[in-house]
Amino acid sequence: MKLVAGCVTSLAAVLLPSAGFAAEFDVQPGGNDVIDARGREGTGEGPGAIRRRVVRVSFDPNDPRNDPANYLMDVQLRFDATLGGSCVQVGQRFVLGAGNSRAALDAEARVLRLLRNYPLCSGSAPVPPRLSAGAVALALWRDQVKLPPPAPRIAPGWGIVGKEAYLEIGGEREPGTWTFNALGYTITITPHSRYEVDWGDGSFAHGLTSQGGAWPTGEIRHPYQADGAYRVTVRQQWTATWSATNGEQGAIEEGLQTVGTLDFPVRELQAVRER
Amino acid sequence: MTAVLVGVLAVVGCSDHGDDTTRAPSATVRKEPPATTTSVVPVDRVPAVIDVAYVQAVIDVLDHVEGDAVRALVGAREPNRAFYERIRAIYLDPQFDRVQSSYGRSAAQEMIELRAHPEDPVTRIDRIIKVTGDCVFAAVTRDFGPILKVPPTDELKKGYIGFGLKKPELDPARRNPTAWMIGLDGATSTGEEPMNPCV
Repeated sequence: MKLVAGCVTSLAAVLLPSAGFAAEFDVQPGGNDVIDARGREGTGEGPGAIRRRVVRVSFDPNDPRNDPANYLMDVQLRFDATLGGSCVQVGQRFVLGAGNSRAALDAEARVLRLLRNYPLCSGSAPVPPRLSAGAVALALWRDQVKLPPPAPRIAPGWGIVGKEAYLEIGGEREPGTWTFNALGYTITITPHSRYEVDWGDGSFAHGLTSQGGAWPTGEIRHPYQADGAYRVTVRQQWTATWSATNGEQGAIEEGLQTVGTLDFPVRELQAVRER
Repeated sequence: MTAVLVGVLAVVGCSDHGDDTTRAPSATVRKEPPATTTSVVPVDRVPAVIDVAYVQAVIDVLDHVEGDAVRALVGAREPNRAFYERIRAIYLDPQFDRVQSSYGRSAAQEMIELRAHPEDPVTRIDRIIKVTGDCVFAAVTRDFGPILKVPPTDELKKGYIGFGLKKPELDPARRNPTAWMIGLDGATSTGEEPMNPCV
């Protein structure tokens, strides 16, 4: 870069982002023993003023920036002007204590997913040769496990004001297991679910493990207070556990959701006395 | 968008451009906003007097270019040429890389942090701090709420912005009609105003 004397502008400050898009600064993990101060050498202007000053400091094992456990895989989707399309840029970000967090698993799983559709950017760091079993399980959970939707039903298809409607939820609450061979692992995923019911009149039920049933014993029931056409929505909230044949196992707390709806008319009955 | 503290000594406004017609080494500064603004400000050149109205007009245009970039990004669901050209055209290095990274992280997460229908960011020039021939440094209130699903707090909106003269080679498609690019955008960790932002 040709620099004109007097054109160099430097800001000697530590910057925080002004709206989230500003000053994030990625640092290489571990052994980062070079600080590029980008300051000016000397105080005068001229060519010497713009030379980068590199300060070398000794390696400090107690410095959290030298601990690989404090780095998170930084996953970005970028536009590569040479390719004319998007690519995956992988790097490392310093986040204290993040190395073994859910965010770390999430980042690994995200890379896995993105690399199915995009090439690695030319300037990217390499992807770890073998992703963790947990990350593979999370990626499979997001992309490969096909969960069944709930199928709500209220017999006989309409309700009466003041009388309880008995909801039956069809479909499977514990649909068994999925086993995959992926990226060197054999992983079994077991989904679990609970239901949430939106009765359509402002009433809700949460955390249900019953699939309900018909009158008179069904456990999921609701009395409507006014006649009308209601839409009953059942949301099935899924989590999972996973295990690998190498003995690793864990829980996937990232919830998935399937939804079923039912249009449900409620009528008002009036007694008529005949003389 | 979560942001991590950073150590930065940023270089702003190093012009290696070859277009001397935009240089104004003798530019002076009027630090207070004018009482009224009635005329259209020509943002494609550097005036003899750089005042708040001029810098405001510049950032208004740059905010619109960035809004267009984000709309292209969200519309395509991935960074495309329309996005890249605009961001490249309005940010100098190394700020460009930071901005590209921030949007890139959001893109890698299916635009999780971006609005489905983003508008332009809104920046108000509060005060000009320093002007040299190729650097403008100002205190700003910069709001990315029109882009983000979760708008930033008022505290995060306050900061500083540094402009450097535009490098035409970074804008071959002429997406940036102003004479300037953003070289620095942020706030000091100490809350103190930078002492000598333009050297």
